[in-house]
Amino acid sequence: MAFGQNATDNCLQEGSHVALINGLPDEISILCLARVPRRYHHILRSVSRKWRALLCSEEWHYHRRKNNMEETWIYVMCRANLKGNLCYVLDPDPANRSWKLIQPIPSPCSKKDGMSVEALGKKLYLLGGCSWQEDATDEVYCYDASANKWDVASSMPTARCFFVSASLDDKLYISSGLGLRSTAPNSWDIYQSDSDSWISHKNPLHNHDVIKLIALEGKLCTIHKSWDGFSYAGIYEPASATWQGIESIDNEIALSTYGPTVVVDGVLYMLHESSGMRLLKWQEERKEWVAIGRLSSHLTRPPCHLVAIGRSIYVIGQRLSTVVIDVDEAAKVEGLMVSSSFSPRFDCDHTIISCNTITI
Amino acid sequence: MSTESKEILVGESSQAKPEKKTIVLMASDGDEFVVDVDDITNQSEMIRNLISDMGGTDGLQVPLLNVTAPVLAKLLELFNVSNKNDDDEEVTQKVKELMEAELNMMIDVLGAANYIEATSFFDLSCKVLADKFKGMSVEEVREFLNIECDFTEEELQQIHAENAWAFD
Repeated sequence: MAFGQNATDNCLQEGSHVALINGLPDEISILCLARVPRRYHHILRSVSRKWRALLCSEEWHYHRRKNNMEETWIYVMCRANLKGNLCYVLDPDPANRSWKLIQPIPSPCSKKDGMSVEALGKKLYLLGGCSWQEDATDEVYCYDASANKWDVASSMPTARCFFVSASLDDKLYISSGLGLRSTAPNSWDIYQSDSDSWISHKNPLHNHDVIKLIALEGKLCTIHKSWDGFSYAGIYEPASATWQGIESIDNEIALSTYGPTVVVDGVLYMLHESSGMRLLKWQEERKEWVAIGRLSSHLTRPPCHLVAIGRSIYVIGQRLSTVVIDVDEAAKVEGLMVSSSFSPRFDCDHTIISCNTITI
Repeated sequence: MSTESKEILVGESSQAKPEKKTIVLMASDGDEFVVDVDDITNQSEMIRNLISDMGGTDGLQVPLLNVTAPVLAKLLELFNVSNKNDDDEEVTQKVKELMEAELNMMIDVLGAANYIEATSFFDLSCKVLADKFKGMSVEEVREFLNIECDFTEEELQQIHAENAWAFD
């Protein structure tokens, strides 16, 4: 498979002797085509080889970004009782909002448990996992959202299931979990998407009790739970590849295990599910959680997952029931937050495994 | 059209200038088009910069090597519509009509607008073309732009299978 730079080169060479649009230089055609909304891209992709190549090129993404045309869609991996794991996509634009199944995920992943799912660039990665028949695996599959295709990516250095992962600045970080080899809990593996390669490091974390990684302001906040149930947090600095525990007095961020979390413009939010669906905001200066408001319990179906698009938080619960909260609007009123909600038009019994966003 | 440039226009006319300043645009085939300076600089960044670089408009002739006379005539006609209307509705409609009647001309006008850096007109025309693709089938896009399908039968089947899972 071609990855990163190679893929881009191949894309642009494909059918280079013909114009994208007869009579127009390609650079002008790109300016026009990049304005076509994302929900029509599968049509453009099917016109000709050259158009197909354009839609997976870096140039395409550059012009989408530059013209402010980028659109963010939500990818939800869920488990359906009879059908195994499925991946849905949601175009959140209220005018065409509906859940759609994407191409069937590679069959080895459809029955897996304990996978991690992370988005990086235009791709969604399915990492590791295990099943009743199979021990933890090191396999990685990825879905390229701009090509609408599944592929195989480089395997992890260590087989893992039920592990922690995070996506930060073009890299994936994984650690901990249950693995085949005894070294597994002690390694800290980093994936680089541009070279499709892994580097395995000695775990910079002092203990093996990490239960959650949160990418926050260019760093990874590590949340731990010790054997006696005590929660604490640390900070991993990617630049120096070092980890430091947070002073116990400022350790309240470790409470982010109480519910799903999401980062909106560099600020961490948590939905506290066990105390009446309260949305909390982490105040870095005061090192404490501040309540923003409460969600009606009629709207949500916990356990929920959170993703953010712009200033909105999408709370996605069982059966894909979704509640949207604008954090600025929510902060204006006390008590019950203003929100909108919607559900899929089909019946489903799905349990959510992960929610991610990909912007094109 | 920006309100800012309108104000400049009003300001100048209130000073009761005797005659409107003009410059000459020369199409690639040598045809000359006399245009009002305010009207053209309102649209074209390239000509605006050129006038500012030359320090004035006296006897200025601008050769447009990439633009033929019919295309330049059409472009100026559309600029006129744009300059006369405060909003983009009228000119958008005219570009749409041109696209439906003479796609090749519309594409040439788009290229010329880009060449003389008529940014807002170019953006508007791009949007008209992009909007045209909304709701078109693959076959309709190919037919509309006269694009040959160069996929093999096998690839087409694969695309069909992909799109079966894609979005309607």
